[in-house]
Amino acid sequence: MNTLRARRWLLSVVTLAAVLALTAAWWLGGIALRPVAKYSGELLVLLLLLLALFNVRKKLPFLPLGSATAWLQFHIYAGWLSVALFLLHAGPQWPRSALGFALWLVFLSVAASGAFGLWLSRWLPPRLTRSGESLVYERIPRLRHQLEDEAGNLVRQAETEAASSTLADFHRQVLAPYFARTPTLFSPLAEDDAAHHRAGHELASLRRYLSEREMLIADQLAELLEAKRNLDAQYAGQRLLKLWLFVHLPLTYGLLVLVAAHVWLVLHYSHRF
Amino acid sequence: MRRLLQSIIYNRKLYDRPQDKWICGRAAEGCACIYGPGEKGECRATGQCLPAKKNDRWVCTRAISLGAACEPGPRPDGTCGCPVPPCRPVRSLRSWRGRIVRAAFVVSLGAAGLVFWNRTRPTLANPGPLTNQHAVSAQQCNTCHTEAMRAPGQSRAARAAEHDQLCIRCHDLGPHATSPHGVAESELALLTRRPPAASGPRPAVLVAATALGPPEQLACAACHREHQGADFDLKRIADLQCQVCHKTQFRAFSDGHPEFSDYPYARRTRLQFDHVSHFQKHFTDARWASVAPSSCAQCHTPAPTGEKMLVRGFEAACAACHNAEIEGRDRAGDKGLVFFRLPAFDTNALEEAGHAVGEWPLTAEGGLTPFMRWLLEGEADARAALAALGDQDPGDLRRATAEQKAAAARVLWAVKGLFADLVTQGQPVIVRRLAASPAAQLALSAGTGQFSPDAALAAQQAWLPNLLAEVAAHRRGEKVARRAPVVVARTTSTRTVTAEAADPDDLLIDLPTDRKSSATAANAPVAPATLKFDEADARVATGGWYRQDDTLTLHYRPGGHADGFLRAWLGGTAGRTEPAAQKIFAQLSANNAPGACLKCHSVDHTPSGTVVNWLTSRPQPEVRAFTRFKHSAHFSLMGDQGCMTCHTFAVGADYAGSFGANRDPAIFRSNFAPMSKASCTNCHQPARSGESCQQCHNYHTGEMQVLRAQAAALPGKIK
Repeated sequence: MNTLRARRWLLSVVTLAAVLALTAAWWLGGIALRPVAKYSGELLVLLLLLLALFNVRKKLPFLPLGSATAWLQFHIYAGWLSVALFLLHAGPQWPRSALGFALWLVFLSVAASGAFGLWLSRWLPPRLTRSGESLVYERIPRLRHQLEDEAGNLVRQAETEAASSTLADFHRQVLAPYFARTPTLFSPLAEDDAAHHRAGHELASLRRYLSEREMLIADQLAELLEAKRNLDAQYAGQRLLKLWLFVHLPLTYGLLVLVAAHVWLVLHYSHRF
Repeated sequence: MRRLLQSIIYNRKLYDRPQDKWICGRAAEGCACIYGPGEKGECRATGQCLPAKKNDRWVCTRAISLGAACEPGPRPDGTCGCPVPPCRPVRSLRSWRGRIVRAAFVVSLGAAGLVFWNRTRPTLANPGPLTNQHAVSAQQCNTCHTEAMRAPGQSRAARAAEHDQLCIRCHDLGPHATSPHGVAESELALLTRRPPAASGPRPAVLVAATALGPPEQLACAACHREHQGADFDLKRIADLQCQVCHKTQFRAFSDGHPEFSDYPYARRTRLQFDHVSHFQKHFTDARWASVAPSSCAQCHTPAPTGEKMLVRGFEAACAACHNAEIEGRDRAGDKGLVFFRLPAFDTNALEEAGHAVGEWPLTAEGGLTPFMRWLLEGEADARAALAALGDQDPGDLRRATAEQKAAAARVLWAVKGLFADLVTQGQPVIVRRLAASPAAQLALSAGTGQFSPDAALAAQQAWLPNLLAEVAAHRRGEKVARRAPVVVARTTSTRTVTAEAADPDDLLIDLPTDRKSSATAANAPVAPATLKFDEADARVATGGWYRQDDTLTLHYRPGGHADGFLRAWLGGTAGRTEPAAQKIFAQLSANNAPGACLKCHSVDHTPSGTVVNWLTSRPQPEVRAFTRFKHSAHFSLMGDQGCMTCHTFAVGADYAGSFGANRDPAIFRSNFAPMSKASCTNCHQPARSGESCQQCHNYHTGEMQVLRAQAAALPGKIK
């Protein structure tokens, strides 16, 4: 068992043990007529603040606050713990107040987006590596433009050298839209290569009408199609790896605000706290 | 293999700035300018490089990644020879994320702000609907969550206590509202000193929960959780939660609950009714067999709530056998009580000592009755005289001191005054004197026993014909002349009373005419001379007042069951320490006393005093017992044995020993065997009738009103 897997097992077991211990404490505390909602709420607020500090840690890389990896591991497993604690705290019933419902919805959305991001960060990178050349996300639009230019140049070359508009027509109808397109948001999850296969299939079908010179250029176009496929895969994958944070982070800040309101209300109105 | 899209040669690479807010609008076309957009998203493009001046020449500084030095080179004024057309910078992904985060933060703050706004707070922050009952009584948050409770610096315990007081304002939970089970701490300590033993091991979960220690504070809200919906059961609590405070812990009612020790016979019955002797001895007796009940239902009936079984009452349950005994029909001797008597006084000694006594019968015997003494003590002068007389017998004052003789004379005049007042004023005299006496709590009107002034008048005319004049003179302060001793004729016997056949030896016939006529006035209604008088007590067979001339006594005969006079005097003297009260109580409580009240009715010492249990156990809506049982719900489960399916006799139990001199209702040996838990667990199992604690037990116990009226909540008109 490698170190990474051992660590994952260890932390998972520790987290599970903590969840079981909290559940037992909640149950026993309830039987002993203790204000378990108060205790679980306090612990949950503390956990949420620690989880939110992960973002702060990323903004302050120069401070000796531990490695980002350690923070990430804590963020992941403390996140799971907070979900269990939240479910204990909120109880099995549907929230009855507007604020309670908002808190419930936002917390679960934060947790769900976090879990989705965690899964994505484990599932997608190996697939992107297998897809082909790894690309810097910010450069992908420029590379797409470059591929478009290269394809255009090849077609013009074929038109000039072979005095045939077969490839030019094909480029106008099929290749140009394909090279210009950007993949859909969730195409990595569906492993959607349909557009690439369709363009490749049509290029292959076109070969019977091509001259020898055009065939050579068609081979180069096929290479460009493959490059575009990888480009799309890299782009869509990396975009998804970035976009889940567009849900997770805003909701986290919203959650912190709602939690603060909830805590104020509890301290203000409850007679048991 | 196709060439790589990205160059790995460092100086061929563009310098990416993903952290920047803005990206050059031409970056996607591969011709981003080297300066990039400004902080506010403005394009800063001028040319492909910033030419550098070397010596006196401008040199192109274009990056290798852009093709190195350009062919036209810098212009003479030092500007780039390859100008870059301006672009429209676009926001970076990171910038968009930041904007969305800020927007979400602001929206959340706005939403949270609504929670802090008083107008929307009740709607948005209300954690859930109140139960129907509380939704009516508490329409504002402040009704329960008062400002005082939210005052800064309030401890949690103080806030909870404050809130509990709000609960108690409406819900009366007795004097120990916040104590476990509403029981005083001392009583709780007593109860927990020897807890009943469970019949199984303690559940592990309770061992663990108990290890947390007792709750530091048992606030109302620890069990009653509001804001859980209109139909939420506020009284719902888990069995484990019930047990966590208990010393005896067990798995379930059917598994470990202690066996019943004395349930439901912990308290002594209010009536002394020996079921065993009645069923096994009296009901089988041929004399009573015809009127003996054939089923329990003939004597018992369920209360309207179905819980308590009531005794149907004397007429239905007891009268057939015991009425004659109570009315005194079978009683040998006098059937009434001596209420008033002309006691013996040594009138000679008093006269010799210079105390005028007026007329007084020679045949007077005995001392003051306890009733008379009680009434006399209602007057200060008489009370002082009685105290001065002490133990001296007023009927023999030969050895008495002068002071005692004087006291005896005062007592004599007090008796005369009482007698005269009874004759002239009747019942109000008794009421007035009782009100002034230590027995003020005695039911005054009932205590008169509907006293008959006419009976007293007849007695006065027979015994002391000049009483009224003498008392009037004495009260004026005049000296009353000595009169010849009165000799009273017996007029209430069964013998024939005729004018012609009057006993020649009867002293009455020698009396002056006026005396004779007044002495016989009581006999005036007896018109036919040949008729006989029945015994005086027989003439008031259903209760009333009569006199006995031979003993100079005025009697009261009780009028059957629940006689008001006996109830008033027994109730008023029970537990009193005054000698007169004790004598009255002893006289009335004897088994052979008229009415024989305390032969069946028990007497309890309670914290509020000693009470005679005139009534059998009744439903008390204001009293919540720890254990409840609904008889009516179990009738269909009775077997062939009927009620005895559960209530079995404990033959040989010293039931009678629980009564008599014992005044503690907790000391009791029932003549029924304690209920067996097994008789309940046949049905009360989880899969059948359930076995939760709350099916049989109440948490809040004691005497309490169901709901306290809130005067402030009443409309102004009826406040």
